[in-house]
Amino acid sequence: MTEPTAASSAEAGTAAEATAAREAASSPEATAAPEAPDTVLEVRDLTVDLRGAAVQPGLVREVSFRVRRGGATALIGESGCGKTMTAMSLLGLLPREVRVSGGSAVLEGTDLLGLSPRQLARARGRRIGAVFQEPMSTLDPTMTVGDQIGESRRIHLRESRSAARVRARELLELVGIPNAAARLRAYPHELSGGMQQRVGIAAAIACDPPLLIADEPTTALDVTIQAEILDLLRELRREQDLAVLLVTHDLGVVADFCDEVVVMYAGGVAETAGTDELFGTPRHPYTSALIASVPTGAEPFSRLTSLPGRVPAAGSFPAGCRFAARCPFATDDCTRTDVYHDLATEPTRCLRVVRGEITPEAAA
Amino acid sequence: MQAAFLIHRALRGLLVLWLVHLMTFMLIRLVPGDPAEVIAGEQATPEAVDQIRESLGLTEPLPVQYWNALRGVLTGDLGESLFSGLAVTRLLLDAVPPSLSIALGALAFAVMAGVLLGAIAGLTRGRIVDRCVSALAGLGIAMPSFWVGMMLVTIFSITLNWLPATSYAPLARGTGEWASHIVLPAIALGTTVAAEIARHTRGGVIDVMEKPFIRAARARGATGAQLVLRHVLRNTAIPVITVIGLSGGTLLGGTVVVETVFGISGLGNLAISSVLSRDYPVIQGYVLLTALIVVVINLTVDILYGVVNPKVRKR
Repeated sequence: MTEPTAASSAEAGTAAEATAAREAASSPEATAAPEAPDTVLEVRDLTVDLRGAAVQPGLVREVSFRVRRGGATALIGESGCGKTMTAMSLLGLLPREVRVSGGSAVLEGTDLLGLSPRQLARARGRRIGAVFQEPMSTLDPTMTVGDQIGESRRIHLRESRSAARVRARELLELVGIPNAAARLRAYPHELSGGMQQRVGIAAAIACDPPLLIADEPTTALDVTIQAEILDLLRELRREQDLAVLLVTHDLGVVADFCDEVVVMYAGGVAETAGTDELFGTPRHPYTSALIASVPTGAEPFSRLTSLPGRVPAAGSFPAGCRFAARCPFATDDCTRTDVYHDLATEPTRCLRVVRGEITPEAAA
Repeated sequence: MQAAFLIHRALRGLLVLWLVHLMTFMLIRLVPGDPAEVIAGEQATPEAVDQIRESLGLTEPLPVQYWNALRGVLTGDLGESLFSGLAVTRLLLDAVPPSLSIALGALAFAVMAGVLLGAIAGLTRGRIVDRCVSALAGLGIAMPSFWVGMMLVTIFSITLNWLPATSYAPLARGTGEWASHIVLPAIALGTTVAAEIARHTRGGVIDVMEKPFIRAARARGATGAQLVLRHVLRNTAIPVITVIGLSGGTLLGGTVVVETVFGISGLGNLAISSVLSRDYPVIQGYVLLTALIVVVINLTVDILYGVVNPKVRKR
């Protein structure tokens, strides 16, 4: 999917592979051949639906991407575009009303979506770590920092409290918290926001999982602290070979930190690309609109560019391309075609870009 | 927990006790007319009125009266009953064990049943179990304790003949004997409080379950009992302890009714009989003792806050 120049013959090949992966992944322990040997997570055609609804709104529809070992893939898009839901479905932590209704997510040979809730709970913390947006409310206020970091080791590795505490101390040092021995006994409210997020990261990687899901990990932090947290994550990628799936709406963070980007819009993938290609030659009108809306600071007193309209609400998604209503290039064809299905193997879900009719960067 | 904080709370408790004492002292002296005549009643002979005036020390100037009363409290002398002539301290101390047994039994029942049922309801929110527990809690709040007591007696004493219907057995007669006399009154008294605790626990659990740190704990692999015991209940405890503390006064007041139903002569009975016979020194002693118990409960709640909530506990 990273070869945007692939001709139609290659396209057929990937499609066949995708089908094979889907079939193989239907048994829980199935091993699907990853596209590249260094792929940690391979998500294919992930679809999330409302439980028990007669007409499915398609909250998340046929989303595919991958995360490389030691790499970082970004899921970006406006609020409500399904990026957090995509990430939470990998953890099995979706709201009760929502369920995964299709697709596969192969983490080192295991399809997470085929696991029973109990098996998935065993993978959480052990094989996938997760950090969240608000570090203060993400840590249990009644539990010491050391106990929270050691919790996953006690659960998954059945370590004693003291053994977990020894490891927790090492982890605190690893995430750059000074005076680690004393901090173990501290409670979350005694730490600053940046420290709290470091603790959150330490707790998430306590069992050395190959993959870390980071859901807006820097959004609630000061800009300088943001940079520090990103530096820490970069260090963990390099030294622990940690792969990061970063959910964010901050293009600056994406450009700074990620090597692959999945642009989501209204529950579907608009475009998948390497970071450099995405910013250099966006292949979807939505991507170029997003990039154009970032204030550059180049021209003082100039108006900020904004994208008119809003993301359609789940349940009222239009047929065809969901971006068509806000797209300056939309034609009748766009609303007639099921771009999510028909263009499943393309790096962009824009019909007109695929046909070669437009080049979106001109719009930016 | 900071010692200074506890000392501060204890001093405030003492202030409350002093104010309560001052108010009970002023009570009979602020009654229009001669308090001795009021106490003695309309049919009393002048000699009887004089005797009452004498025994209450009402012939002395007010400051001296107050000083004597205060000194009495500090040395454990609360005066004598006008009715029986026995020391008020003695009467109260005799009445405390049955009432305290019932009240503490009721508290234990209320906390165990309330927290358990409330937690189950909160965790099964919206499902049938939750609906049943919530309905039960509504019923528990609506049912008066004397009626619950009578039903319990009908079922467990009269029909099944498992437990005694009336009276109190002191601990000296054996723990089993004591407990068998306490169970029914304690449940009768504790039902309302249990229902209230269940409601608050349910609400607290639902509240905590939505918190981001629960999702984070689940993301670390915590499930089932690990999640509930380590994260959910510990955080739910903070609001629930407040409710438990507030229920202390309710339980003490409730013993009046329950003791009557079960024919137990405890503080409640003492309070009623002294009110009916206008035995002011006993009433004063009862009010002061109740205030003391409530102050102690509040202090305990403050300490418990520090135990469950690290934000209160400062180093």
